Amino acid sequence: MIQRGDKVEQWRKEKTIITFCGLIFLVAFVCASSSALSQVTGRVVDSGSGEPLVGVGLQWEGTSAGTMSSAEGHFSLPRHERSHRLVVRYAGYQSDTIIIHSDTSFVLNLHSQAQRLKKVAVRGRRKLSFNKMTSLEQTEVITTEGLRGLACCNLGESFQNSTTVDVGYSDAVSGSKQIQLLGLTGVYSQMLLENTPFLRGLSAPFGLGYVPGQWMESISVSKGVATVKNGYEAITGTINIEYEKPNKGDRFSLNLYENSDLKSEVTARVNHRFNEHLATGLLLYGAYDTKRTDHIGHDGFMDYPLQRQFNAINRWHYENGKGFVSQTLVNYTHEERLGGDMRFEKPMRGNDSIYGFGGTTDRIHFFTKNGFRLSNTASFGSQVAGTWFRQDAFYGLSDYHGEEKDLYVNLLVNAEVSGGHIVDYGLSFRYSDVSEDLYYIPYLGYVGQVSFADGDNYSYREVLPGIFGQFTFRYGDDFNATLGLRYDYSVPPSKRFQTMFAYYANDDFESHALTPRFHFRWNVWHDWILRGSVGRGFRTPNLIAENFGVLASGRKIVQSEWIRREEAWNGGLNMSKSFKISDDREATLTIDYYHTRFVNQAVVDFDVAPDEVHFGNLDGESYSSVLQADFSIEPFEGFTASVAGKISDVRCTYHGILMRKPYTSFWKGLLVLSYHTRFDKWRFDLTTQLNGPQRLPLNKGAVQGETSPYVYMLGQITRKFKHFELYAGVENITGYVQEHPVVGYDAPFSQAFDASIVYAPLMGRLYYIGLRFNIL
Amino acid sequence: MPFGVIQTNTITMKKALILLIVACFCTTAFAQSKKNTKTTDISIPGYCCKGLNATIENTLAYERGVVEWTLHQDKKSVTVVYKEGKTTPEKIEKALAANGVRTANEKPNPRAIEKLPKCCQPAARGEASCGKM
Repeated sequence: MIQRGDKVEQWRKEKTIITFCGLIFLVAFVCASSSALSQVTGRVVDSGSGEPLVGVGLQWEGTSAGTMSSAEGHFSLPRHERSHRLVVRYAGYQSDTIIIHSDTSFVLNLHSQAQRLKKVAVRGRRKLSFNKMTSLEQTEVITTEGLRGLACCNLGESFQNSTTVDVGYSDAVSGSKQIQLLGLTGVYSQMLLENTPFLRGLSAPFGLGYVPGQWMESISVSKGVATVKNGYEAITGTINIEYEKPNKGDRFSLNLYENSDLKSEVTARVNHRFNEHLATGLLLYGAYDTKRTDHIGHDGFMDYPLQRQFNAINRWHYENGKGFVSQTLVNYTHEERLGGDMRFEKPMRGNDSIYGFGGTTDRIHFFTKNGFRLSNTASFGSQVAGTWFRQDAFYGLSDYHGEEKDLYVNLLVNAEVSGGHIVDYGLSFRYSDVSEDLYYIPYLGYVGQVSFADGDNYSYREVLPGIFGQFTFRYGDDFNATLGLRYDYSVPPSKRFQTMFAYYANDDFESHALTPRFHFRWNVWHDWILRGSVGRGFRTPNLIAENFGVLASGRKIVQSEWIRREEAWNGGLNMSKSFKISDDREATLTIDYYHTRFVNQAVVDFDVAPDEVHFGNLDGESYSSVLQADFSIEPFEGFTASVAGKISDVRCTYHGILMRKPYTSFWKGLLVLSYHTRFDKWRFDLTTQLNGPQRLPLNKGAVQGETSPYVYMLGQITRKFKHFELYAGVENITGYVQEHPVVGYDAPFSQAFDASIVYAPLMGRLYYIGLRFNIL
Repeated sequence: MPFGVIQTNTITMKKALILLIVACFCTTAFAQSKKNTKTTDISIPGYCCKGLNATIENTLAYERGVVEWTLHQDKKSVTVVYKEGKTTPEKIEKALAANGVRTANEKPNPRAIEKLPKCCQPAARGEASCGKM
């Protein structure tokens, strides 16, 4: 009873404070506006991010008179003769009551329980994925609901219902997956964990496997250049992942998974709240896969490497209820992989008769984000993120050792200025120490540079302070635009760190990077929304880590010049529209076109000779043009169908000839069907992908030139019970696989060997079952 | 040895898997006889808006022994038809409370309250009554 009394007391206190703030606002605005308004008008925004809130309910207390905020958060309602108390309610936010005694106009800051964090799972309206209609950038959000319909062991498998992101294997022995956005490899997009950079540098190649599917609350994919707030990378887009929050998550959740290749996975999540201010969470994941299979090609090589992974996160959330929010997360990952010949065991490393692949990775990643309100219209935020990464790997006779230490600091201020426009500005700093040592013997009898570790090390140290600012212009509900600019200065390295990269050598070092970026959103006509973006981006390539596949071949690495920093421009247009079919069902249509053009690129050329790979700088044109259309409809309750198509034209100049970029589908089609019965007791998901032809580079295999298109299907049935749910599914239903992914498997230590030519699935039909259990 | 070779007959495995799946998913087909049913009225004083309907219905849908129900928004109550011997009105009330719904006799689970629509939360906590809707 005492506790409840306290709560009531506190609630009253909060109410008083809120009312007080409201009054101050009122006084301020009444003073500011001399003209007499007949209405109460204003705008509702998120107190943390300043983003407008759409569909917020405003109602005069004790009456039925009210309104909802429109797009961009604006509202307008006549005053009520009997009530002066305006009640503001919005799902996921603290309700607010404002006393209004005169005509007025104001901006209302609503407090989210976890500030700045988007709650994506929309209750009542269950969507698998949706396009954010109100955001400036074109954003596709994959929700928890969407992820539930896929086995999605990890991030790499979470994009199967998305046309925007393509996922492919880097080679046939390591099991490493790489994503493509706008036809270009994932490294040109930026991976964010709750809006802080992660999985960059050396973590990128295997990184998708370090993010367990069951930890994720949502994935947001934005196409085109990002705003300048998170650095000069993010040329083709941004993928932002949200993990479960300790202050919101269930007390305990468990997921068990087992597939027909005997891969087992356990995911557990525990959250504890000490009080209303402080909460902590523990996310655990373990995967164990010890069955060797050779169904594909019957070539004596494992289809997929044996894998063991342990992954843990501890995170803390603190908020004082007065606008200060602090979040800290520490992640430790350990992974071991073993692949290659079916007979290979770990102690055989260095053996020149049985081919093996192995890798051990240890990674620690942390971030801490702290934010508080400076005033009712301004907030300050700081982000500090760091990674320590070490990988020891071998491909046949070649040894690789990679190590990375990375620290990132970002300080930013967000403020609303007069007229409702928004200003963001801040400072950033990055320190990266990356070393890649390669002891390189692609085949027996190889003559050439064996060790890349001495002298011409594939290593660099990057010290990168930066400054940025952006202005968001708003014109009513229907138009807003953001112009941002950032400047980054690369501190020239000392002689000790001279490397093969010209970028880091003192004589030809590019210190300055100026990154302009522009975005707009325009409600053209009746919610037909046009968005556009254009901007420049830079990137430092990590040659070996980003081209691991090369090591799984007898190809000889040829590099005749220093590699410079990569630079590109990206621009695009997007049109989207939502159609209401009934009160709670709708259809959405999205069409977009994006173009990326490189000024400089680290070009990896496989087409000079079938047993060589050439690293060099771009000499000529390199571009990517992608046209995509998505249509999604819920024709009757519980059933959703999405159709999507994409055409890509990605070309790059290889030794003077403009050619299609290898391993990029010319076109792609997708059909996603999902049906759930009432109360979600049964759920059926079926995804069909149509993958178009790809160009293969010169190789020694049987398949040359263009590959043939193929169909990939997956399906899952989920049955929900009172306290748990069971799921069972099939991946690769049609069983289409690449017939001989390991070229020259009978002579793995010769120049004929090549396991880097992968264009189709490497796993046949796969069955799985699983169980999810949680305590609220 | 860290990575040992495990030999398994795949066909047997697949069969076993399919059997398991079938076993798991076929437990729903129990006949619903109208015999031995009773009716109870459960008062929901914290009922504020239609947003709570989904929570109430989702709870009752997964409750063993519940045959059917009717929501009375005006009376702030739900009439539940249940099978005698399988459940009791107390059990149903407890289940509703576990999902955040305040009933006449049961206090709701505070963590579940946070998952309710905003308009229903103060009432579920017993803090205030809600306005007309």
